[in-house]
Amino acid sequence: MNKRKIALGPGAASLILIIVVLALCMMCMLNQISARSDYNLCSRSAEMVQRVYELNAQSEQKLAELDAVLVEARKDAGNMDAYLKKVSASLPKGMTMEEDKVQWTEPLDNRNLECIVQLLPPEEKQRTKWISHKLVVDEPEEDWEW
Amino acid sequence: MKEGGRANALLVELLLVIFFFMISAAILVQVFADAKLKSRTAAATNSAMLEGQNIAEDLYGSDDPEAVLAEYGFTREGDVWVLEKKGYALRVTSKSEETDSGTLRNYEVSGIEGEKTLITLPSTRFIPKEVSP
Repeated sequence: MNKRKIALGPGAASLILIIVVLALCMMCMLNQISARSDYNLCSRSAEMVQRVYELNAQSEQKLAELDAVLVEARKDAGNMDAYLKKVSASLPKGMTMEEDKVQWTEPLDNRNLECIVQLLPPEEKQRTKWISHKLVVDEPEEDWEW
Repeated sequence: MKEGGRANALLVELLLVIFFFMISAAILVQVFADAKLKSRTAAATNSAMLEGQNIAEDLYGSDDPEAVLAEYGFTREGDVWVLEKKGYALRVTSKSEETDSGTLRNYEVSGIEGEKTLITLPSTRFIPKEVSP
């Protein structure tokens, strides 16, 4: 009977340990890097979405402020010109008026939520109409790298 | 005698190897567990964000927000609407402000994992009142 003897010399176990631990460390590191970048991307994305929703909420609050002014201006406004003059005189802070359109901007880093509403004549039941409500992204900064 | 000494040395080496392997394994398992936890949180944040956006938009556009929440499967717990999802929960709170010109309807959709808030999306809509000129 030919019996083969498997010899485990001194240091072989240590060598195997080093190889196994190094392989495990490598896997662990790659796993950690992947999980961390995934987490960071998700967090940044969620933060940006949250801030955009906060901007939308702010724009609605501004619209409410403007509407309160419009209700006051309509009380004793005769024609459209007088109405627009009254609105222009008591426009909430941060808003500008051009003809019958009121506009304001909600800033966020390199983005701006541009809001424009049209003022409808005092005879109509509806007071405002949304013309523009869009998020505009500025040009990337110079140190931007693809 | 020589053979016995070699066997002893091998035994000591094996014991040391097992000891160091156990220490390394204990550390690496912790790191793996941390990575898994991070991945799970990332997945929950992503899902909560998508679901939360859907709900926030639906609430904004709807005339009957409570019906929308009931349709999604939310249950009411006091002033808060709660929906349990796999790995996270969604909570919706509401607040209305009456003004002379209309109603400012505020909803806040939050994604929660355990005690941690993953995302909070406000959904505000101004509903103008009809005021006779």
